[in-house]
Amino acid sequence: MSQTSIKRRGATYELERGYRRMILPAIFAILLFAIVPLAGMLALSFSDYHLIRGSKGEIGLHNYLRLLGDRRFIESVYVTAVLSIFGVAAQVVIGTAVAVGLHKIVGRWRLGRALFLVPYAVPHVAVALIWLSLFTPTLSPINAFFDLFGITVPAFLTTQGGALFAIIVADTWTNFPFAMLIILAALQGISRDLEEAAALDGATQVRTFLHVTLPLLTPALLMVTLFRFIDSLKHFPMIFVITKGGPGRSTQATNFYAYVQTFQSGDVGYGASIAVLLFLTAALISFYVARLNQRVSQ
Amino acid sequence: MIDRTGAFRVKRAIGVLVMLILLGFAALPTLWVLILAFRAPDAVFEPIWESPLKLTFANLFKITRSEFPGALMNSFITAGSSTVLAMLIGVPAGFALAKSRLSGKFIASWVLLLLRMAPPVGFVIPLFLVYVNAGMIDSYSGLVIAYMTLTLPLVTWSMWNSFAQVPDELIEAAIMDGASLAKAFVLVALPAARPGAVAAAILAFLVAWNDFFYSLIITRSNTTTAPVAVMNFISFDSVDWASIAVASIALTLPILPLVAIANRYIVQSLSGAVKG
Amino acid sequence: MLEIAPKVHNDEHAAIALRAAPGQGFNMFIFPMIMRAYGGKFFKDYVGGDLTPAINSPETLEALRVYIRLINEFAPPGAGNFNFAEVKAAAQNGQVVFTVEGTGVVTQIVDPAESQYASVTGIALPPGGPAGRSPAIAVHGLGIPATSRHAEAAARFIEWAVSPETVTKIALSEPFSDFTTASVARDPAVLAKYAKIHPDYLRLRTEALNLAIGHYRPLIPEWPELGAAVGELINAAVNGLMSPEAALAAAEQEMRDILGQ
Repeated sequence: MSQTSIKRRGATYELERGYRRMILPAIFAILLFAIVPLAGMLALSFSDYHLIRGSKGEIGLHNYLRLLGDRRFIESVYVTAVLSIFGVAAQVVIGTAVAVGLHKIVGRWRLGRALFLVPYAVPHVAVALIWLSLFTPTLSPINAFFDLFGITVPAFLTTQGGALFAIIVADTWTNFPFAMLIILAALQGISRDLEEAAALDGATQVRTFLHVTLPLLTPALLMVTLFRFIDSLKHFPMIFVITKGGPGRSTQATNFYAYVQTFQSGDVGYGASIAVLLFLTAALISFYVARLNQRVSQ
Repeated sequence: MIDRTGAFRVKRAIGVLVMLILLGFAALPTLWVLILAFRAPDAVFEPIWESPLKLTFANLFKITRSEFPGALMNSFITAGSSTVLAMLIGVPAGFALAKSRLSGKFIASWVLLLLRMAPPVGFVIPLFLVYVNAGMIDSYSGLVIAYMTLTLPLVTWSMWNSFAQVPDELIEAAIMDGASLAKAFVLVALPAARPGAVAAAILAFLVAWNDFFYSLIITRSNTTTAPVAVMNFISFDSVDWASIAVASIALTLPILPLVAIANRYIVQSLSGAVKG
Repeated sequence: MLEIAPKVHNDEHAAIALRAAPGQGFNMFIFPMIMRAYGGKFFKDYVGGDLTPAINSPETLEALRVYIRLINEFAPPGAGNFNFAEVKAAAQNGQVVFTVEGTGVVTQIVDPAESQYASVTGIALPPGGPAGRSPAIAVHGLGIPATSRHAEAAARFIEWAVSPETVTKIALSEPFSDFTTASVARDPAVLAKYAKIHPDYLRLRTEALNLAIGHYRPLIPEWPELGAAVGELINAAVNGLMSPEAALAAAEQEMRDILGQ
């Protein structure tokens, strides 16, 4: 072996050690701040720890068995599903529509783009409060406007459907610009030649969009949908502010239900078991995203 | 190619109409908050078209006398320090992940994504119990640590993507010239990835600034952040809508320019997730 | 009340507003009053120490039906989520004719300085039912945690906070009349202030206090959890998500679960 190659291998080894040293603080921090709490949550989910009553020392699967028969939990999964499916669908559809519209406008209408972005900048608590005010019959200008024509807008927040609708509207308002941004970037990446070629072949605009543009947008649409879907599993401020889980318990999504069990009922062990299930769902989806990511990069 | 037939005009008109409706959906609630913020106290419940001139600046002065400005300061302190810490730890880690030949990168990417996506309720339960026993409830350090679970994975992940776009040759050349790894990182790689680093810092700050959940659970009166403090305007007696509107604007204004700067990078950090 | 309500209820203003939002300070402040007026109770024998949940009874069902009718037929739109803030606003703006509220806050409705309809607003003891009157009462306790690092200072603070001097000051500077010390109610300045708000006010307050029971809401450590659960189910029944029967059955079952029976 020549002198230089040994030297180089030594240098590479030295380099890799340097890299490892740079990652170490991050690994340490993530272990301490994230992995340890997660392990704690898992441990708690097997316990019967209660904020006020403490623990009787029972350890086992009892929390998970209780979940299976808990109608409130099953109901919460249904609420989460409704919020996620309708919310994400509305965000993707509206986001795509605005992106296509902005893309078509010649000369790039920057002010329009900026106006559409404002809702995305508003923190979620403020979003929730704004929409709470708009769904408060005595305050809302929407109600006052329809009153002019003698139409009484029904109180949304006293029915399950209405309350879910209110949450979805608020969520859509602040998050459709996210979909819009991604789709707009994807649209700008699509070569105009393709669309023009299709137009020359006699395809109508609608058909060009459906058969040429849309398939090219699929990766972006998939990403937006996945990211929004995962976020929608974490629904909290909107529910906390707009409906508080009501009327009755009809808008307690799973994440909110975990909070209710843990911090309102004090049933930490049971709340932790719900959190574990939520976490596993997120883990499955992020595994899928990471795989997708790896496949595309290869 | 541009045809000016009637059908085209109708389609165009429909398109414009749809865009206007969507613009109304996006912009009118913002306009409503602006009105509400300047509404005279006795006119809050009156429609604006009935008394368009009952406006006042008093709501702005009123809120400066509440606890809200202090809470805004808490938000700056905690979001700011968790961003700085996450950058200090996450930027070198992102660099190393992008350039080293470490095995287990797939696991690393999965863990980072997972932490970014995990529901905060999972972290908060154990943190809460530890904080109660360690006397860290309502402390800055407790909140900053909680925010690190949000900011650190975000910064590491997006810096990994940013450094991946810096050509390997640049760093190799620097090291061939005798620079240490640390020098190559600071003097060569970091300047090349500066836009990405700015974006990562902004995104991390936004995530921490937006937080409601952690602050609600692990802070009390001293370190409450602004998003939780807004809720104090809803009291048992009454709901102070004008102050809520002013506070909502105060919560949004500081980050509006950040969103304007960072929105392009939001796209990149995600398309990073598409392209790798 | 059910007899008068239809007569005064019309499109311009509703007959009544009651706290209905779920929570122990909200609908669980109002509903137990109706429940007890109809002879319903939370437990089989609270005073005797038998804490077997007994909320699922014909009496409570009757009371719940009354509560539901009052809110759904005779209250303004959205009343199913009203809390004190909304009730107060509705009463002050003349949107409703009746309300049933706490003595500590009702001054804000009958005070001419606060409400333009105060001059035409009267007050009376809360209505009773077949089983008599049971005015709602909120009893607050001030506690010092066992882990407190300044337990003595806290005790001295509590002593100061509930002293007749402090309470008199509060009664005079705030629209708050729930003095915990009888001597305050005899203070001439206090008497004058509340007489100006409403002449019958202090007398009715004392009468109501004498009628009320201390364990209006059960004084047990599990109550916050119980109250939250029952409150949510009552709210679900008010907003038509559950039948009153199902809500009470679920309430009793959940009370059992929480108490570990």
